[in-house]
Parts: sequence; structure tokens; C-alpha cells
Amino acid sequence: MNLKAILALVLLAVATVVGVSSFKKTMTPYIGFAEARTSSGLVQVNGKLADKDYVLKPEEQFLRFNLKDDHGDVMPVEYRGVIPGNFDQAVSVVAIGRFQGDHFEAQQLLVKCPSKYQAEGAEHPEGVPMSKETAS
Amino acid sequence: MNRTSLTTSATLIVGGLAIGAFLTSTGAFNWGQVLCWIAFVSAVTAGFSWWLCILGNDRAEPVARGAYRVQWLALLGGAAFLWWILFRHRFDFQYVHDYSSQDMPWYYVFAAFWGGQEGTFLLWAFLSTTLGLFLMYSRHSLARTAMFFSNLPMIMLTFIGAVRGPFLASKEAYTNGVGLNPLLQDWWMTIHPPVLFIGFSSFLFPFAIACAALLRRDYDGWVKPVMPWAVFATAVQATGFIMGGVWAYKVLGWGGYWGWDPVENGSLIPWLATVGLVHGLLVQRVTGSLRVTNFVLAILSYVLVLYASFLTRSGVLADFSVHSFAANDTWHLPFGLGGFLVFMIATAAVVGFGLLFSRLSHIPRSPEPLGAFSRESFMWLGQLVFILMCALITIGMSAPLITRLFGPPSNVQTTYYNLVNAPLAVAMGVLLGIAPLLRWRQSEPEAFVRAALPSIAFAAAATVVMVVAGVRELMPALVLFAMSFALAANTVVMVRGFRASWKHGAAFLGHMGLSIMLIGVVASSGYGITDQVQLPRGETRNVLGYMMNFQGMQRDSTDGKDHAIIAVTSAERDFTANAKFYWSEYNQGYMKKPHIERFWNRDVYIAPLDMVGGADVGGVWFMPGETKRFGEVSYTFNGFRPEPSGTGMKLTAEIVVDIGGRTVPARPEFVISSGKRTSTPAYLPSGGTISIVSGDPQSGRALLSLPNQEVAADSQTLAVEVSTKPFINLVWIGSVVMLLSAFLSVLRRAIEQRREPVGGKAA
Repeated sequence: MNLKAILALVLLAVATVVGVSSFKKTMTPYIGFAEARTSSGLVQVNGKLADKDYVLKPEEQFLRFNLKDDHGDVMPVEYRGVIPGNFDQAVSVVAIGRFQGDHFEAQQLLVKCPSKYQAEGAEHPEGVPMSKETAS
Repeated sequence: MNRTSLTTSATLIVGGLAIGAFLTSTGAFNWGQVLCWIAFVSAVTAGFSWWLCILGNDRAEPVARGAYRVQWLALLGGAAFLWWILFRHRFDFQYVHDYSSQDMPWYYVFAAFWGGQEGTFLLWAFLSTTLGLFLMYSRHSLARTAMFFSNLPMIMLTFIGAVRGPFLASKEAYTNGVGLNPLLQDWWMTIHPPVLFIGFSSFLFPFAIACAALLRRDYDGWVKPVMPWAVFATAVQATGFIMGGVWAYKVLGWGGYWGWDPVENGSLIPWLATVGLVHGLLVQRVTGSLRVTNFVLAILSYVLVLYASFLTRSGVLADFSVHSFAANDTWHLPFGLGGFLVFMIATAAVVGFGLLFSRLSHIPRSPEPLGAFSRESFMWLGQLVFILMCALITIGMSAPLITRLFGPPSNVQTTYYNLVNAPLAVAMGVLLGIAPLLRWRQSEPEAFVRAALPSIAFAAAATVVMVVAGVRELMPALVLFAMSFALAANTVVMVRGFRASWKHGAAFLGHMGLSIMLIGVVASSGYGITDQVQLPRGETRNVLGYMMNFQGMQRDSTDGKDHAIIAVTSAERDFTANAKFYWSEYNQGYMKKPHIERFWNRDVYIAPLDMVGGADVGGVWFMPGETKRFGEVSYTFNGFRPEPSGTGMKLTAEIVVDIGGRTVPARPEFVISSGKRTSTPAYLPSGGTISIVSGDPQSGRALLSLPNQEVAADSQTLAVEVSTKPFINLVWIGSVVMLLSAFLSVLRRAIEQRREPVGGKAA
């Protein structure tokens, strides 16, 4: 086997190993609440605000609210970070994080708001993620 | 232009316009729809005639050309009609209502063309057809056959335009439009989408020429004609990315220039495949190898364009992407828009890969094996790196679809892309440095080592400097080493190349640009520092060594929007950060634009995040019947009383204010007339006013500005994210150098194709 074939195989092997491991490591499954409570890794849950009974402390950058899924299951969510400004009008909330003890600790919140003046089928950029990390 | 061609054109135009005139007079259709239908019928006619040409019927060619010209003219007319109704503010068209408004400046009205899905499909069809004219008028022997293949997707795009163009009548009689989403209201909106769509459209032609070559069994003759198209597609698409990056960084305040969003990934994957193709074609031209790989890449790049469109337009990723279009729309297409796009992908894949498969045993294998230590071997490895990057990114962006097969749909985080691409970037840098130092078909390891030593020494020195400067992790250090090596090696080769001729230097200049850019990417994304802080008005806070004092909001006289003003003092320079930050009724959220302070070695990026405390810009939302208490005062909103007022509508809010047990009514008014909103506040006995900021006609909610909120405005606190972006200028310098090289290469390949005698007999 010549040099070039060996290099190609090395490249393929590295790409496969790194690809598979990164895929598994960064995967955040979109799962139901029941599963989120038992799962240990980073997961994504989505739902609606269960009630207007949320705790919002902007100065401490703390938010606690109840998230309700399509089946009516309710789970408390806590988030520490800059609070999305339009949070209380959210029609749909996506939380990425993990379940800890009695609540879901969100690392990232994606908030979608009612877009009353917006046409059907338009772009939905107001779901811009508010995140502790910034992408670059 | 011969007679048959003119007759065909005339028939289609006169026939189309006659039927169109009848249909518009009955009111069933408007001229925009008529033009879209003419385009579709012409595309079908042209496609069918080119098919007859392929079967050997030469008389069909003038018909095809005539029909194709009408297809282009009709799409041009459709585009002109769309601009006309936009500029005339014809709100009786739903699209005009949805994406423009009376008060928008002309350049946003111009850009509203591509504000929504229907318009972008029309733009895509028009640009594809326009580029196709260049193929039609080129003289190489595959052009005619390639026209048939390039017209296949155009038939489908014009079909979308015909059944669901941007010309549907409005559902109601509107007097004003919604306007363009404020996020899109930026200068870049006028230029960035068309450039990306020229890029997307140009990937069609390597696909079409590859299919033609396979059909005609011309396995080497396609290399020359496809080269300008492949290089053009790469250059234009790269221009699109870079514009998008600048937009995201400077305006949208993402904090970065690239977010690994499905839309960005979708434009990157066909580009990576085509960059792989360009390098493969160079190898094929010299050595005759990589024939099959090049066909695969040419076909794949267009399939990926369609796949990316499917992911971002069909709504399958609506939960996962910032950019994606929503799915809740009804398209009068078989199986909906998503289904139709799947059909387009399947057609392109079946036609392209089917042809390749049927010819696989005929395609001659390489007459000579690639030398072990030759330039072509390392270019082949480089091509492999591009293919792997393309594959891993495609897998990442398809994660929600892949995981859906096995369980709940999941997505990968954006760190996935950084993790998988970092080792590949190291490999790319090393190969990028080695390949240009080698010679074609030679295997001279000793000569290579001699040539490479200075570059390796430079890279080692540069890496030591960067480690001293703070690079401590292995992977970034490796990327920086590899890229410094590539930079040095290509500089040497570029200087040598440009001495001979600009044609020989251009490619290496591109490699230099890429390595400079990636050094900038590593530095700016990996070694910046970020802090999120709250800046109470008038108080100075130390953020990352910059003393920041939020001075309040100021209305800008030129754009009429609120800006957050922050005075900053630092060791090097004092400056005033001026970040646009205003409430958007359209999005029901704050619109933000970062302030970027540029230093020679870094940017300081100040992005407003949120207004904490006083909600003076927005006000407070009330549901009908809702009571909210602020201190000693409680407000009950009992709903709106609407009444007609002139040509518009007057809304009076019924509010009861309870001030320490004493109740007083308050009736602020809000008049909406021909798009103008006038708010008349109600005065309270305790001083202060209540006014309506906005209302929601569907739920009857009201956004009210309350007196105590004005008091709170003095104590407002601005949350900002401050970050440094070290050496981000290298990203822009590298990008510009890369683009310069790409367009020089387009020029070179276009000249080359023109000058060379036409291969085979002109058919």
C-alpha cells in the first residue's frame, strides 16, 4: 500500500471516529417530559407556558416557570441568564438543558412569540436563541 | 436566430398573451400569473424540444431556443410585474401586503421581492434561466444536451411559480401592508439574497454538463466547459457567505459571523462539493484520473442545493432553525411544498446518478496510477477532505431527520460542527501547504523537503508565538500551525506563479486567503472573552477592563429608532457606544444592533440584550379584564371600544385606575388611519398619563404605557453582552483575498474556454 492510500485511510478513520463521537456527544434529543426526568444527558423539551405564575428576577438573571407539553404534563423549568424580553408572550418555549432534582435546568431558551401582524409562512426569525454561549 | 426559432417565440408570446388577455379580462388571472404560466409552458416546450434534439432531431433545436427565450422573457416580465406592484403599493396582492408597506423606503420595497417564499422561487427560476442563456450561447459540443438537463429543474421551478407565484389576490381589502420584518430591514437585504440565489442557480450547470457528458459518453470533454461554471459557482457562493457573515456580525448581533444554522450549512454543502469538484477536475485534466469522482461531485452539488432548499423551506426544521420558513402554509402543489421539493431532489438524483450508474462500466479508469508523492495525490487527498467536511455537515444538519427514524427527533448542538471540522481543517492546512510545493506526476520527496523547510520553519515559529500569546489547547494550536504552513508555502508559490503570469498565481492567492481567514476564525472565535453584565443607568461598571457607563436611550434623528448610548473609557481609547435598540411591534420584541469598536488587533463587540426594569419603550401588556398592580396603583383594562373614524378606526381603551382606594376612569385613544397610528393619552389626577402603545385586534390585548413606568425609565438597566474578537480583521482580509482569487480564476477559465478550439464537432 502506498503513502497516499494510507493517508486517505487515516483521514477516513479520523473523520468517522470524530464524527460519530461528536454526533453522540452533542446530540440533544427532543423528548417528552417523562423521558427528560429520567435522562441524564443534555436534552431539548418544548411546550407552552403552563400559567402566568412565573418567577422572574431580571437583576439576578433568574427565571422559573412551568412548562406544559401537548399531553398536559407540567414541569418546572429554571433558567439563569439574560431573560428573553418577550418571554411572557411566548406561545412556545424550547428549553435545552438537563433535569436536576425537582426541576429542569435550562442552559438555553428559545422563545417563539405570537406574530400577529405576520403573514402565514413568513420567516420566523424572532426565535433567535438567547443563549449563554455565543456562536461564532 | 433563425425563422423556426422566431416563429416559436412569436407563437408562445402571442398565444400566451392572447389567452392571458382573455383570462385577465374575466378576472380569473392577473398579468403576473399569466406571465408565470407562459414561463412554465415555454419551459415545457423547450425541455421537450431539447429532448427531441437529444434523440437526433436537429430541427427541434431552433424551437427549443425560441421557447427558452420566451421562458426568460416571461420570467423577466414576471419579476418586473412583481416590482411594479410592490412599488405601486398594490395591497390587493397578498404578497405585497405581507412583505411591504406604504412607509418603507424604496430600497426595502425593492428587497421585498425576496421577502417571502414565493418571491424567492420566482427569483431562483429567473436567475437559473438567465444563467442558462450563457450556456445556450456557448459553443461547446455538450451545450445543447446540457440545456435539456438544466431545463428540468427550471420546469419545476416555473411550475411552482405558476401554481403558487407571488401574485395571489389578497384575502381582504387592505389599505396598507405588514411591511418587511425589521430583522431583514437592512442594507444587506437588498444584495445578499440575490447573490446567494445566483450561487444556488449556478450549481445547476455543472450538474447539467455532467449529465450531458455521461449521456454523450464524453468522459473527458466536459472538463473544459464545466470548469468556468464550477469556479463561478464557488466564487459567487463564497461572496454570498461572506456577505451573510458580515450581516450577521455587524447588524444582527449574533456575536459571530457564522452560526452553523441550517440555512448557512445548506449553502455551504454544495459549495464544499464544488470546491472538491474544481480540484478533481484539475487532476483529471492532467492525469486522466478521478473521472467517476468528478461526476459524482458535479451531480451531488446540485442535489445538495435542492436538499438544502427542502430542509429550510418545507418546515421540517421549523423547530430547530432560526431561519427556517414555517410549515403551516398551504401550497397548491402535489403533496405540498415539502413533497414537491422531495420530488425535485428525487428527479435530480435519479437522472444524474442513474446516468452515472448506467455508464459506470464504460468510463475508462485512470490510465496511470496517481504517483505516491505527486501533486495530484495530495490534491486527491484534499478533495477527500472537502468531501468528508461536506458529508459530516450534511449529517449534522440532517440530524432531526435521521434521529426521527429511530426515535424522537433530536438535533446536534453547533459545537458538533466545530468538533468535526477542526481535525479536517488541520488536514486541509497541511495538504494545502504540501500540494502546491509538489510537481505534477513526479515523486521527489527530497526536493519537496528542501522546498518545504522554510515554510515549516515559519509555521513552527508562528505557532510558538501564538502559544506564548495564549493558545493553550491542542486542536487550535494544530489548526494554527497547519494554516501558517499553508500560508507560507502558498505565498512562495504564488510569488513564483505571478512572476510567470497572473493565471498561475491566482489559485495560490486563494489558498493564502483561506489560511489567513481560518487563522482569524480560530483567533476571534476561540480566544475572545465574553461577559454579560447589567448596566444601571448612570453607573460606571468595569466590563473586561472597559469602564462602561450607560447614559440612557436616545432617539436617532436619521433613522427614528431608539439607540442605547454607553460611554466607554479604556486604556487605549475613549469612545461612545451607540447600539440600536428599539421595540418592534412587528416582532413584539426588541430589535438590536451591536456596536462594534474596532482596534487594530481586535474588535470590541457590545451587543444590547435586554432592557431590565423600566419598560418605557414597550409598556405593559393587558388582557381584557386584567388588573395589574404597581405599588399603590392598580390598573384594570376592560377592553377596547372600536368606532370608525374618517377612513380609519378609533380604539378607545376602557381603563379603571385605582389609586389608593379611589377609582378613576381613563380613556386613552388610538387612531389608525391609512397606516398612520396616533395615540392620544389619558391624564390621571395624580399626574402622569396612560397611553396605548399597541393593540392586538385578535385577542383584544393592549400594550399600555403607564405613568409609573415613566418613573422607572430613570432607573432603567441595560443588559449587554460585551466580547472581544481578537484578530477578526484577518477573517475579512482573508475573505477578500479569497474572493479576489476566485474571480480571477473565473476570468482565467472563461478566457481559456473561449480561446481553445471547440472540442468535437459543434452540434
